[in-house]
Order: sequence, then structure tokens, then C-alpha cells
Amino acid sequence: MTLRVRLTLTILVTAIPLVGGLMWLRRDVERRTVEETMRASALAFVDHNGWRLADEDEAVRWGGDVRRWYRRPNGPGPEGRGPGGRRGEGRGRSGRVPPKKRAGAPPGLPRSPESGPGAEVRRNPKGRGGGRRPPPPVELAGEAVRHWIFAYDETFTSANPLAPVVPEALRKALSEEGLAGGTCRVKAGPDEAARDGYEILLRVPGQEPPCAFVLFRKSGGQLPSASSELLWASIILCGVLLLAVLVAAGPIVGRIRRLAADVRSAAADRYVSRVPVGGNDEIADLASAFNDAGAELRLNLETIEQREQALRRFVRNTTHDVMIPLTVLQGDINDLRKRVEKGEPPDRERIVQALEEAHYMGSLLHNLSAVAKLEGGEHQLQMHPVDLNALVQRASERHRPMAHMRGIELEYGVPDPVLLTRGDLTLIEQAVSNVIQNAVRYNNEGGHVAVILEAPRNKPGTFSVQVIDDGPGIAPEEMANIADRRFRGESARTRNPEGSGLGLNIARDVAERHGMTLTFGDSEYGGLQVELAGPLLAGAEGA
Amino acid sequence: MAGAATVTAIRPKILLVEDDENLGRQIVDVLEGADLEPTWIKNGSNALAESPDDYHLLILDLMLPGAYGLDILKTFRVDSDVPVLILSARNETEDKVRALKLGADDYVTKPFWPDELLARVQARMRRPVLQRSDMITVGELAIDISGRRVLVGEDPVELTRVEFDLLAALAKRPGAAVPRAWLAEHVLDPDREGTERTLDVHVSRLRKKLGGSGKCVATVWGVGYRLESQSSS
Repeated sequence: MTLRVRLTLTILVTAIPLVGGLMWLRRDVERRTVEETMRASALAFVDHNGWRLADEDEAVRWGGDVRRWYRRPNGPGPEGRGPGGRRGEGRGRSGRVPPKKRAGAPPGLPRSPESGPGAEVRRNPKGRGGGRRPPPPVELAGEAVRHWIFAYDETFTSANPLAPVVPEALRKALSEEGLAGGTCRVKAGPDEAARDGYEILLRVPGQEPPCAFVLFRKSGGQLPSASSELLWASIILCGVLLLAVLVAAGPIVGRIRRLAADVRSAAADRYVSRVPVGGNDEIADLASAFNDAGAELRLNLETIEQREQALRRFVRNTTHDVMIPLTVLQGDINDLRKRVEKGEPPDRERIVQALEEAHYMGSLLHNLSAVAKLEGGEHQLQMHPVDLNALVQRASERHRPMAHMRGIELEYGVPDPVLLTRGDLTLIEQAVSNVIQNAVRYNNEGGHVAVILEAPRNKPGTFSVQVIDDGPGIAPEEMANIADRRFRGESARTRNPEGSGLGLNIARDVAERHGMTLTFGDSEYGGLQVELAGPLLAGAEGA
Repeated sequence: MAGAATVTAIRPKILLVEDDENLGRQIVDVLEGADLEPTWIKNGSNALAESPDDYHLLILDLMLPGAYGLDILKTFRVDSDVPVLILSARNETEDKVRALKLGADDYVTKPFWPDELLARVQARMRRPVLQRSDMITVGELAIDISGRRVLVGEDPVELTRVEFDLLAALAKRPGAAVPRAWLAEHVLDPDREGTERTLDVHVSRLRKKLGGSGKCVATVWGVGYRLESQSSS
């Protein structure tokens, strides 16, 4: 659903009940007003003329047909029209009533059984010569409005044959309420009368029987036309409102569409271009938010691409580096086979070399897996309590056979009880292993490597793993960047002869990821001393 | 002591659960060469049929047909305390940590040297003996830890407090190098001058007092000292 359709529907859904409610309110107020006016008019009329109802001839006393006076504006009524200036007043007034409305019985309540279109006012069920005398003049306001008045006795019986029958329910209600005083009822039934006008039936206060109730009927009025006016006004208002909203929404919809197109084109060029931000409103905020998200995404994409490239390069170089020792290994074993076949003694040097190549390949593959883990980010690290004693023991023993073969003495010492830290077991072990391997690999025959784990007394809450050797060591100017050799392409092979490069680099990465430090220095025995230091597991410090 | 004697007198039995033919055969050869008695099972479900308490140590590969190595470990650990050594090829922290949590004693990551595996096996088998014994014998040396007495052969040796503590500290971990700094901290009187140089002086005096067995207190390059039997020195 588009924004415009949504706005239109919202306005319609809101306006229709609102207009309906207003019309109902208008009608209700009008009804009440008419009711009050009629009541007041009826009471005023009865007040002024009630004595005449009681005094006059019986038929008149029982009510009369006001229309008669209207129908004969210039002459006496058809029946028993009596003299009197009063009638003149009635005539004068009735002359303004539209003639077509004068025919037939008044609309409203159902007629009494005796009444009918032909009966007109001549009929009088009681045969009391109703109409001989004129009914009292009707003093009513409203030029184009016709009024009738009928009198009823206590049993709701009228002497006027044209008087409508009062429904039972209304009688009952009026009788009960009537006890409480002057009460009126407005009939707005489903018939024609309801659309044309109002009726009010009320107890005449203080009036003596037989005139106990008076039905006052008003035909015509302002309601229908007023209602349709209101309806039209409401429709026009709704239309104007709708138009205004749609006109106001137009630019907004246009900007949103432009923004959507801009975002799509930014996505197409991998968020390099920015979405134009215009104005200082919510849509501008949205455009800024898109730019921020795009920048973040671009950064992530670049990081991922860099990692991918680095990893690809690493795998390429590693594959190269694994192929070399593998080739050497194949050659050495093949040489061994040949010598055995010829009955010659095997060459110890070549066997050691083969073993060394195999050992190197194992370490390389472990390092490859460590790099994948480190490059994968923080979430790849699985932090657990790590038993450093066991770790140092395992890492040392892994390289002991190789050291032994090369005539290098590798020893380790750990404290009691064990020291614990927190970290990724595999990575820390690989880091320590790399440092030890470096010490063994670049040492000479007859050399020494010592691995010492301790909790330094001068640095409580920390551990230190020191790997000391008496090998050739490294020049002071190289000390600072000994661990900086990374897989930077062909020139910086993991297997370069000058240094261990990758292994120490991984060790330093692991240390940094764990909040530990890896420091290089000269050992007191002339070689290299590497120290991995970090925090002990809180609450689990060794004594 | 009685338990330790039994263990060393008979050939310790090792249960090896490894599915790879070549690696399994190699390990069996290494263990037999070290005077151990291996039983090799190639299938995980067959391993579950074994009673772990019939063995002195279990070597368990994690990737097995029939059952996962950790499931076997879990089943065995329900009512057995036999030491378990895990062989892991994946080198994943998760595997190792789970194995250790489930009660494995140690692990060896592939590829490994036969000597490396053997060192770990022997370390595991030696450990319980250490914890139980109060009387430690290394070559001709007999050290009564609780009685604070030292005999060379039949002859008692008079040692100072520091010398005895030094010897006892080494004796509690025979074959293992004890760092010099640790010894200085735990053996020397902290109120006096407890430097590593002082420690060396004490070691020198101790060696003299032990006479021929003085060689048992060996200097370990870069680390510290170790108590070793004369045969291995």
C-alpha cells in the first residue's frame, strides 16, 4: 500500500464516522429544540385557550381540526361554523399554508378506526355535531409550518374523528409519567410524518377533564434540508482535507522515492558513493542513517576482503612451504631405501633432516590453523581456564625429540602447585610451542634450551614463561622487529632462513589477543630470551 | 608403596583405541618397546565392551568408527578413575576442553613423536605413586619426608633444615626439573638472604653430604635442579 493510498484511507476512515456523529448530534439537538419549542407552544396555547376547550360545545371541547380553518381561509367551515373574531384570526393565518398540504388527514399517528380520507372533518363518531363551532384559534409560529391540535380525555379518546389513535405503549408511559406533571412525547415514527414533522403528546397540567391530553402536531420544518446541507458541507470538507493532505504528502513521497533510488545505486557500487542528504527532517536523518550503515558495511567488506586476501596469500605460501619439506622428505626416504637396498649403512644426517622436515610440516599446519583462528576475530577464541604447567610440559615435550636428535638439550621446569590462566588452550600452547621451536631450530649442536614457568614474586597475580637458549641470538637492531615477519608474499616466506618469522608473529598475536605480552631480550647465556607474561586466573593463584 | 610396587613389577596394561592401522601399529610397537603391555582396539563400539579398570591407562583416539571418543570417555568415567590420554587430530580447543572436563587426564595432538607419547604415558603412570608415597627412594637415597630423615644406603645423613627441605622438594617430583627461583622462594628462609646464589651454595653442601649419591642432585641448564637416579644421569 503506498503512502498516498494509506493517507486517503486514513482520512476516510476517520472522517466518515466523524461526519455521521456530527449529523446525529445536529439532528438530536434539533429534535430537542423542536420538542422544547413545541412543548412550550402547546402549553402556551392550552394556557390561553384551554378554557375555551372546556366551555365550548362538546365536539369542540373534544378537540378540533385546525386544518378546517386552513382549508377555508375566506369562509366559514363546512360544519357548524360559529361566529367570532377568533375564527378570523385562524383564517388569516391558515391562508399561508400550501394548499396541497391541506388535503387528507394529517400525517403522524395512525388514524382512529372511524377516520378515513373521505370522512374528513364532517365525521363525528359521537354525533355531537362536531364542527358546528369553530375550534379555538391556533397561535403558532412558523409561516410555512402546519399545525394540528387534538384533545384527548383520560382514556386517550378524542371527540375529533380525525384524531389519531395513541399507541398503547405511549399511553402507558404517559399515564405513568403524567402523574408527575406536564410531560411531552415526541413521535418520530417510521412513516411519512417522521420525515415531515413532529408530534407532541402531553398532559395538560392543571386542566380538568375531559381535556386531559393534547396532541400537538407540526408538519414540515427545517430538518431535512439542514441535514443535507450539513452532509454536503462535510463531504466538501473531507474532500478539501484529503486534497490538502495529498498535496502535502506529494513532496514527501517524492523524496522517499528518490532516497530509495539513491540507496539502490549506492548498494550497486558497494556503498562507495554516498546518499545525498538534503533538508533537516526525518527523511534527511534516514539518508544519514543509510550513509552510516553503508560506511559500516563498506568497512566490514574491506576487512573481510583483506582477511580473505591475507588468508589466500598465506595458504598459497604455506602450500609452497609444505611442498618443499615434503619433497625433501621424499628424497631423504628414497635415499634411505636405496642405501638399504645396496646394503650400505643409512646416512644419519639425512634421516635427522627428514625427521626435521616432517616436524616442521606438523608445526606449519598447526600454525595455519592458528592463523585462521586469529584472523577470524575475537569470537573464534574459546576462553577457558588453562593449566599452564601441563601446557609448558606438552609444548616442551613436543620439541624434545627433535632437540635430542640435533644434539640440543631441552629442559623445562614448572612450579608446584600448578598455575592457571584464562585463554584459548590451543592458541596459547601454539604460541609457547612456536617460541620453543624457534629456540631449538636456531640453536647449534650441543646447545641448550630451557623453558621455565613461574609466578614472579615481584609481580603478584601474573605468570611468566621464559624460553632461554644459548644459541647465536639475534642482533640488537633486529630485536625490535623479530616478530614482525608476516606472510607478506614471496619475499617474506614463512620458511626464510634468517628467522622464524611466522611462528613468533603468531605467538605475539596470541599474546596480544589474550592481554599478555611477548618480549624478546638477550639471555644471560648469550642467546635469546623470550618471555610470555600474563595474568593468572583470578582466585586460582599458585602458592 | 605396595600399589606402586605392584604396578612396576608387572607390565602395565594399556588399552589403545585407535582406528588407523599404521598409527595403531606404531603406537603398539612404541609401548611394547617401553615394556608396557598394550591392547589395541580399532573400533569404538568394541572399546565400550572393555572394562577400563582392567588397564593401567587408556589411550583414546577421538575420531573413531562406531562411537565418538568422548562418548567412550564419558561411559568409562562413570565408574572408573583409570588415567586417560586423548589422541587428537583436529587440534580444536573445544575438543580438548570437553575431553578434560569429561575427565581426560591429558591429550597429545597429532602429529606427535613416539617419544613424546611415551613421555606422557609414563608421566601419567608415575603420578599416583608420587601422591601416595611418604618414603621416596632414588638410587641409594632414601628420603623419609614425614620423619625428616635421609639415608644413603644404610647410613643416615645429617642435614640442615634448608638442605633437607631442598632435597625433599626435589624428591617430591623425581625426574622433574625444579626451577631455581621456586626453590629459593619455598626452601630458603625468607627472612634471610634468599637469593638463588645462596641456593647454589646449599646445593653444593648437600651434594657433599650425600657423598656418592650427591650426583643424584643434578643441575638442569637454565632451569634449576633435579633429583635423578644415578642410572639416568
